Order: sequence, then structure tokens, then C-alpha cells
Amino acid sequence: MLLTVLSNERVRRYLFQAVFALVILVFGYVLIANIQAELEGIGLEIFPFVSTKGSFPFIDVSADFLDQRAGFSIDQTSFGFDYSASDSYSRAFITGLLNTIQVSIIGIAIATVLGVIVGVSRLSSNWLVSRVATLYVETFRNVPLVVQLIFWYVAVFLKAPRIGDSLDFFGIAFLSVRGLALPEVHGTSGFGTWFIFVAIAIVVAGAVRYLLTRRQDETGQPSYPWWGASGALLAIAGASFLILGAPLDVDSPEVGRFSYEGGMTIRPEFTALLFGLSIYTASFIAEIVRGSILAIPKGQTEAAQALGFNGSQRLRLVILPQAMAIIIPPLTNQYLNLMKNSSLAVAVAYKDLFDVGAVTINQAGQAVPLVALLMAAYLSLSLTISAVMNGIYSRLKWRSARQ
Amino acid sequence: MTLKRSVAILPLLLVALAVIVFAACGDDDDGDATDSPTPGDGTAAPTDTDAPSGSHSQILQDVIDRGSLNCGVNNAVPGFGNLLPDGSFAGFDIDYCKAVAAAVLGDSEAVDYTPLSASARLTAVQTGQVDVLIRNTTWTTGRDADSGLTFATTTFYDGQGMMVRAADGFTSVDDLAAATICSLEGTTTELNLTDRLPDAELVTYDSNDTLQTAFIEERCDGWTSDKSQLAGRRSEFPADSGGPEALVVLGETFSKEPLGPVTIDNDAQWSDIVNWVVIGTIAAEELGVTSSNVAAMAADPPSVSVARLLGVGFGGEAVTDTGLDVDVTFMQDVIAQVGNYGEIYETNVTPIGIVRAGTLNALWTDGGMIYSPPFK
Amino acid sequence: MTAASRPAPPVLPPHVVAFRWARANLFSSPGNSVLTVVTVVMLSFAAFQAARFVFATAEWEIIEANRGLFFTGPFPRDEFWRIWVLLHGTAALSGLSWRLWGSLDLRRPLAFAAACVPLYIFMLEGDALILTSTCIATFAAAYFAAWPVRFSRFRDRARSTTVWLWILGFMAAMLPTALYPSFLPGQGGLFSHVPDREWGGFFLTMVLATVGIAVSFPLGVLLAIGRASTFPVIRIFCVAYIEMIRAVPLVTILYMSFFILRLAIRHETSVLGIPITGYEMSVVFMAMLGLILFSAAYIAEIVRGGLQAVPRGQVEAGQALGLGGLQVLTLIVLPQALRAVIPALVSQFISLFKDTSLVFILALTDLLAVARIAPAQPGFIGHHAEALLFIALIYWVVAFSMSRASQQLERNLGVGER
Repeated sequence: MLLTVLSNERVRRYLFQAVFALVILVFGYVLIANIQAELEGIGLEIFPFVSTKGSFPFIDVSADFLDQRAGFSIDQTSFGFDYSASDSYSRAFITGLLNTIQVSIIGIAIATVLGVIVGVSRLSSNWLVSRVATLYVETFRNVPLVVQLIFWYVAVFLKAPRIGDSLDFFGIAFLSVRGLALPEVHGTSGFGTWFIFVAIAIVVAGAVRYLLTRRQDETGQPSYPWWGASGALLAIAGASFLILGAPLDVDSPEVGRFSYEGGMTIRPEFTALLFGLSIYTASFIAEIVRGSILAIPKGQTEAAQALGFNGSQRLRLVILPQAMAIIIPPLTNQYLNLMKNSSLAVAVAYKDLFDVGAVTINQAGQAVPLVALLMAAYLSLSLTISAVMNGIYSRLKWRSARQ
Repeated sequence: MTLKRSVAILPLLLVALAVIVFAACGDDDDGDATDSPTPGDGTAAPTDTDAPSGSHSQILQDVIDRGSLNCGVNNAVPGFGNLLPDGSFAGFDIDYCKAVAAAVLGDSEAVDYTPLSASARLTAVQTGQVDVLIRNTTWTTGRDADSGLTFATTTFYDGQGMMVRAADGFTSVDDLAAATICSLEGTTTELNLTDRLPDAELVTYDSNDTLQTAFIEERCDGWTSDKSQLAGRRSEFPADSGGPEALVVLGETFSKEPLGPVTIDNDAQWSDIVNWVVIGTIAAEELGVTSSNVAAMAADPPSVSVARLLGVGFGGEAVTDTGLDVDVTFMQDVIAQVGNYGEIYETNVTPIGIVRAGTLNALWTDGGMIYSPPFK
Repeated sequence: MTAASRPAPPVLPPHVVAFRWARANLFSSPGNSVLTVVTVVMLSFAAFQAARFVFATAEWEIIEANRGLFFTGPFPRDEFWRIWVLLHGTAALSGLSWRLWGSLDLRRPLAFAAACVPLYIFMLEGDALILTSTCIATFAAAYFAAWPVRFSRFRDRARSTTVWLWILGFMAAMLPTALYPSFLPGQGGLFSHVPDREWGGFFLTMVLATVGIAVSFPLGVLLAIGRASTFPVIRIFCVAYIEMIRAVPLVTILYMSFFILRLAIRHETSVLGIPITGYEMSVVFMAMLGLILFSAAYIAEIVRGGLQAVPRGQVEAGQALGLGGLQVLTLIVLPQALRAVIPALVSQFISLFKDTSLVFILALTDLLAVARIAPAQPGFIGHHAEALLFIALIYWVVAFSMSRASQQLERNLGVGER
């Protein structure tokens, strides 16, 4: 009886999976119960956001250690988020998260541009340029990023002039080892009104682009929808800006004794991290770009040549749009890598999410929940990037299917 | 089809869950029963039947069974804990690791050093990864009470100071109110500075090495750390950056940093041993026992205090048992192989340019804080 | 075309050839000329700065004094013979492999070796010099011993023997002599008497990388097969594992391994009377585990790509031959899938090698950590640009050699030629 049941293919499948699930669940349970037991041995809780006193999975909500005063300072904040040493651990955590987001977004933009340039250069007809591009890729790909980051920070960005000898860019911007000081723009009283005009301008620009695109599709004549839209945007936004009497206030930096007064200062730690991340990731993006350009049939280039396109037109209008479809999936991986690699900020004194997490572990002694929290935060960042890139990819596919 | 399949899986999952709950309930009881006395380790459990439970040290037993002491140390602080080119460790804290090994095992070289990062060091003691942590760790209420740790007698009274470039002309910490300050991240130092100079801009590094370069390149105006570390860095400041004279350590000390060995809370015997090894080195200096004369003094003790320290009889009096679970002559091994407090200080800390006289680390008879409770 | 149509190309003087080559490759258009000039200026500036640092500013004594630390960390000096045994074994097998698989064009390797001679003389003295020389001699001896085999009928047998020797040698060096309880690293194999907390420097980096590759590769293949499986429970588990791990940075995995998994492993628990946890793990082991867990997810993703590239017809053909599911998988699908993804796999191995540098956050004394510790020694304070450049060079040489070896492997296996 049992044997006949076991000989049934479907029964065997279910049984096999049930055993597998059982093993995994037992293993997972043992892990969690063990961690809890060990932590209780040293008087800590596994998940202090909720009290786990009493037997495991029965939990009841109680005090939250993340509300305690952090006490450590974070010299870098992003997106205008305020933080001071007397704020809570959770606020410190968010500051770190925003710092990670900021360096990732800017890094992704720079790495993409640099990667495309280097990737295209590797295929350049200019012998020297293609060799230099190859040298670039082979050098930066094969040395660990941490080593590069420390090197950039210590050997390049810290070698900038002392603050007293700041490089002066026409009195508007200054560069020294204390950072790059730039003028900062604040909105004045008329700024809100102007903002409404900008919104109107964006709507008008969208309409212009739509109409011009339709005309182009109908007549076959190039109508330059992007130029038209930008023109409309600039005209409306610019005119209203002037009419409202320039509702912006420029705060220029001045060289002080210890730091720049006024304006905004981009610190060398941020620059070093950004630079290192972009250069490293660009060397991988360059290889992706090169591979996908090579994957495009040579006939495409020849056809474009026959149509009388010059080199840059061929690249811009024929090759790169086709390469995009092949590029996007591996490019997404590189973007994810860049975001994840930004966790190496700890080596160059930039206060990113991981760094704040590590300091909090040291201060609060709550390693288990904080590591879990860190992983959850990075997981959601990764999912966001993946979702955005998937959106772009399906849009591209949809567009190429339409044409 | 797919719906049917998932419906079929559900009961199996339920069975699986039930089995897990049973299995785990059974094992939870086991775990608690064996684990409650000491979360240290269970490997040596069968051997301690002769000792009364509660007074016997599990860690001591582990160390003896293993034949070596696991000591958590720093590897990049000159004078205190430093990895040398030949792969050995040297420094003030390292010598205290050796002293504990000499006391327990009779061999100061029977130490396995585990370099620990600042964030991992307390966890390492809590989880028994190291038997003792001697890594410039400040004694604070939080660490002593909340983290399940015990601090032995302070080996080095440190305090937070501020180092600046001589050319900048700062004379007090207040001159730096709006300045940029460099510090190591995640340390008590960082927290003290945010209290002392709330308006200063603080750049925090994960290694002293990067920090030093940043300071040389004038990324910051002040470098704050424990004064001992600042002195060590100052004495070795590269000549091409001006040498030690280019730097000034400001007089003000704006925090108390008593540094000492750390052990786990639930093994009082073990904590006592570590504590009395430290005290013993201090007592030896008070009594004038040095590594060169310890053998002679043990053979013919000049006073009853020396005899008690070295665990020998004096004038027909029987040897006093310390009750420390180690050989009564443990201090003989410590002093012969490592030295007394003064000698340890002299070999490690004096070379990095920290003068002992007149500081808290002088003997109490010289106006310092180094004081030994009596061996009785 | 032009060359072929001419009856006999006139022999041109070299400066004319150079001129024509330059015009064709460097100055073919005004834009290109500007690009060339700008590149030359930038290159010369960079080269000048680099040369000035290397030959004038830098003080290389820190490397010379600490070469022991850089290569082995706090490894006990009287146990060094173990490392020399390992190096000689590796040299012999490398020599064999080079002759059996390697490129026959020796100009570049020889040029590279020649470039290394000054470094070799500068860095070494005494025993180290003698033993390094015998290593090189062993390499050469093995190379010439295998000389006639490459083009004989014994080649394939020699190749499979060499692969087995590598595997056995690796196991003898790294794996335990008895399974329980000495399965912790540093408690078995060639290094049984050196606890792993005394491993360090380049040696630790290579141990982390090789053990990481050797363990995460099969694990990754299993995960990939699990992901392609028709069992939904297994598939869901594998997908969840792969995607979770790939979404977070390695440093958080290392922290998880050190702060969380270590606790879970050290607490004693038995399920149905079988003890499954209760082991005290070293930091090196937990770092290794973190690297393996991390890398396996990436390898799984790469192998999945390879599995998808195997045509469905291959599976059907295997089934038609009467092979079982497991046989089809191991004999038909996997070999083709793995062969298709060799470049991606090797670049993942290179990543793992580079990623070992992140164990510095757990205070392990790996190559990068030594470059951060050495400049804290009295006398060398602040000289870390030298230390960093030196380790960057080591990382680069290993990573670059790995990528070159993978290209050679592709050529040998004829990937892309069909």
C-alpha cells in the first residue's frame, strides 16, 4: 500500500518538497531560537523594537531603543535633512540612508556618462585613445574598490591646497582640502509664485512636444520636438523669472579661517567616494557598452554611412539606440553594484547608511537588530533601482515594438 | 492544476510546522538546562565535578585545557598594541596579556592574540571569543553594568586631549570652537567632543592612519583622541611634515578615560585573577620587586608584604593562600617574565614620549593614581 | 585591398612607415588629432607624477621591512615551512598546467617575468631568496617535464591527472585530517598546527579567495539548478535566497555572519537528539562563510543564464537516449551550461578575490589590513601611499592573471567557435 503510494510520481514530488520545506523550516527555527538564547545569555533582545520576553514567536510591543539619543555627529547630510548629535538613532539612520541615496544617484549618473565615453573610446579608430581606454578598464577593474577609494582620498583629494590657499574661481567658487565651496541658491518671497509658472511651463512644454511629435510622425519632416519643448519651457520660465524680479537669492561662499562661510561646501570625503565609485563602475559599464556595440550587426553602421550620417550621428542615432536594449539588464546590475559598493564609504569617512549602522552597533551594542535593519534598508534600495530600471526597459521595448 | 497542487501542499506544510514545534520545544528545555550556569562553553563540563559549583572558573579551566590565553588586542596603536614587522605583537596592553598568561599558565608566550575592531571588541568578550580584552577600552557605567562586562583595575589613566599644529597658534580648546576636528569614529572620544565643542565640524575616520594623513594635509585643525595615543602619534610624526615639534598637545583634558582589562560578568573567579595580576604588577613596583631581582627576593624575602606577593613563607610563617585558583607563586612568573608596572611602562610607553612622572600614572607615593590594595 | 592589388609593395624607410601609421591611426581627422594631443598631454602628466612618486617621493623601506607581514601576517615564523611546501606544490602544478593548457606564445610572460626581476632582487634576501628561487626552478622543471606531452596522445590523460592533482593538493592543504570536531579552518590539512587567527596578509587573502571559490561554486550551481527546478517549494526558496543576497552589500553579509550567524552556531541545540549547532567558530571561518554565502548567489545567477542557453532539444535528446533526469543534468545540460558562462564565472571569481579585501571590517589581518597596520609602526608612520600601491599591484597582478587564464581556457575549450 505504502509502496504503491510512493511509486506515484506526484506523491513522490510532494513528499520530496515537504521534506525540503521541513528541513529549511527546522533550520531557520533553530537559528532564530539559538540567536535569541545567546542574546538572552548576555542580556540583550533579538528584536528590541518589540519585546521578545517569554517564549518565541509570542511578542508584544514595547519601548524602542531607536528613539534614544545618538550622541555622535554626522558631518554630512543630504537633501536638506537636518541632523544633530542630540537627535535619535532613528534620525541618524535616516541621515545615513539619505547620504547613501545621494551618492548613489550622482554616482550612477557620472558612471554612466564616463562608462559610455570609455566604452566607445575602446572602439575608437584613434589608436592611442583606444589603448588608453583599454588601460583604464584593465587597471580599475582589477584592483579592489576599497584600495582605490583609500588611494583617491589620501593621495588625491587630501592633496588639495590648504584652506588659506584656496583656489579661487572668480570669487564664486573655492577649492581646498576643506572642500569645494559653491554658491547656494535660496528662493525669496516670490519663489512660490514663480514655481507655479514653472509648473505651467512644464505642462506647455509637454503639449508642444506631443504636437510636434505628431506632426513629425504625420509629415515625415523632422520637427525637433525636444528642441520645441525646451524652448517653450525656457521661454515661459525665463520670462516669468524676470517679471517676478529674479525671486532667487544667491549665497556666495567666503573663505573663513576654518571653513567656508555661506554657500554650500562639497566635502572631499563625498567627492572621493563619488569619484572612486564612478571610476570603478564606469570601467564595468564601458565593457558592457563595448560588448553591446559590437553585438550590433556591422550592416547597420554601413547602412547609416550610406545614408550620409557622420561618425557622431551614426553613434547617436543608429548604434546607441539599438545597443540600449542589450545594455539595460547588465547596466541595472552595475547600478545595483554601485549602490551596494557605496557601503565602502567607511574607508573614506563618508557617513553613509552602513557607516552610521556600524557606529550605532558600537554605541548601542544592539548588533542583531541593526544588521537586520541595515539589510532591510539596502534590500528596499535595490528593489527601487530594479523597479525603475525595469520600467525604463519595458518602455524601451514597447517603443521599439511600436516603431 | 496549479491551484490543486498548492492545496495539496498545505497540509504537508502544517505537518512540517507541527513537527518543528515539537522538536524545538524539546530542545529548548535541553538548551536552557545545560546553558544557564555559564554561556561560556560546554566542552570542559565533565571535568569540574570536584569543584563546588559557583566558585570554579569555567574560563580558567578552558584556558588551562587549551594551554593558551585568548587575548583581544589592538594591532595599530604604537606603544599599546602594535603588530610588528616580524609578525609579533608588542605594547603596554600586550604585556598585560602576557602577564595574565604567565600567571595562569606559567608561560608569558602562551597567548593567542585576536586583533579586534572597535565595534566587535565588546561582543567578542560577551560571546567568549576572547578570554580577556586588553585593548585600550574605557571603563564606563554602560559597559560595566549594561553590557555584562567587568573591568579590572585600571592599568592606564588616560584622558581625551586635543592636538594641533604649532604653527596655527591655538592655545586652548576653546580656540577651536568653530574649527574642523578629526577623530576616530564610534569611540567615546567622538561623543565627548560633541559635548565639549558642539559647534565644531567633526570628521570621523575608521583608522588612525587615514586620520593622520588628513591631519597632515590640514583637512582638520585639531586631532582629538586619548592623550596617550596623541603622544604616540606626535613622537613618531614624520620629519618631512615637521617632526614632533610641529605639533602641540593642548593642556586641557576634557574627559576621563581609565583604560583596563575587560572580562565577562558571570565568571567572578576569572575576573578576580585578571584583576589581581594587574594589582600584583603595581604592588611589585611599590615593593621594589623587579624582573631582575624577583628570584633573589623569592628566595629571601625582605619583608612580609613581598613574601605574600610572591607566595613564599616569611620568618617561619606559612604561605598565605590567595584563594585565586592559581598557583600561589603566580606573581613570581608574572614579574620574572613580564616585569612590574614600572618596567612594563618603561619598555612600552616611555619610548613613545609619554613622561610618567607627575601624571596620574605615577605611583601613589609619587602623587599619581597607581595604587595597589594589599596582598593579604 | 590596396596592398593586394599592388604587384610588389615597395620597401619604405621606417620613418615613412611610422609617419603613415601615425596619420592613419592618430591624426586621421582634425578631431582625432586634437584627441591625440590631449591624450598625450594627460598621459605624460600622469606618467610624470607617477614616476616622481615612485622614484623620488616614496620611501619603500616600509615594504621591505614588512614583507613578512604583507605575505603572511602574524603567521608564526617557525611554521613558515608549511607555506613554502604549499608554494612549491603550487609552482609544480602551475608549471604543468601552463605547459598543458597555456598559450604557446611565451613572449609576454617572459617580458613580464623580466620586469619582475628587480622587484625580486629588491624584496628578498637569505632563505626567502633561496626558497623563492627553488619555487621558480620547480615551476620550470614541471614545465619542461610536461614539454613533450602537449602534442602527444597522452595529453588528455595528463590534463585530467593535473586537474585531479590540483583538487587533491587543495584538499590536502586546506581540508581537515579528521572530520569532527576539527573541521574549523586552521585545524586541518597542511596548516593544522597554526590557528587561523595567526593567518594573515596575502596568504589569508588567497585562502579566503580559493576556499571561497571552491565552496561557493558548487553551492551556486546547486542553487541555479534549484531555481530552474520544477519543484515550486525548492524554486521559491532558491529565488528568495539568490535575490535577497544579491540585493545587499557584502559588508552587511559579513556583519550578519559575524554578529548573527556566529551566535546561532555557537548555541547548543539538538533536533531529534542530533546536535546540529554548538560550535565555536573563528572570525576567519565566519568571514569565509559570509564570502561563500554572498558569492554563491551571484554564481547561481550566472549559471542560470548558462542553463537557459542550453537548447531544449539537448534535454529531449538525452531523454530519448534513455538517460534519467540526473544523468541528463550532469552529463548533458551542466557541461554545456558551464562552458557557455566561463567568462562570467571567472569575472565572478575575480570579484570574490577582490571582495576578500572587505574582511578588514572584521579586523582580520588580510593584505589590505596589513597595508593599514604597517604605516602605524614606529618609523613608518604615515607611509601608506607606498603600502597601498604595493598591495594594489599584488591585487592587480592576480586579478589580471585570472582574466588572462580565463581567456586561454575559453580558447582551449573552443567557446564561441561553434
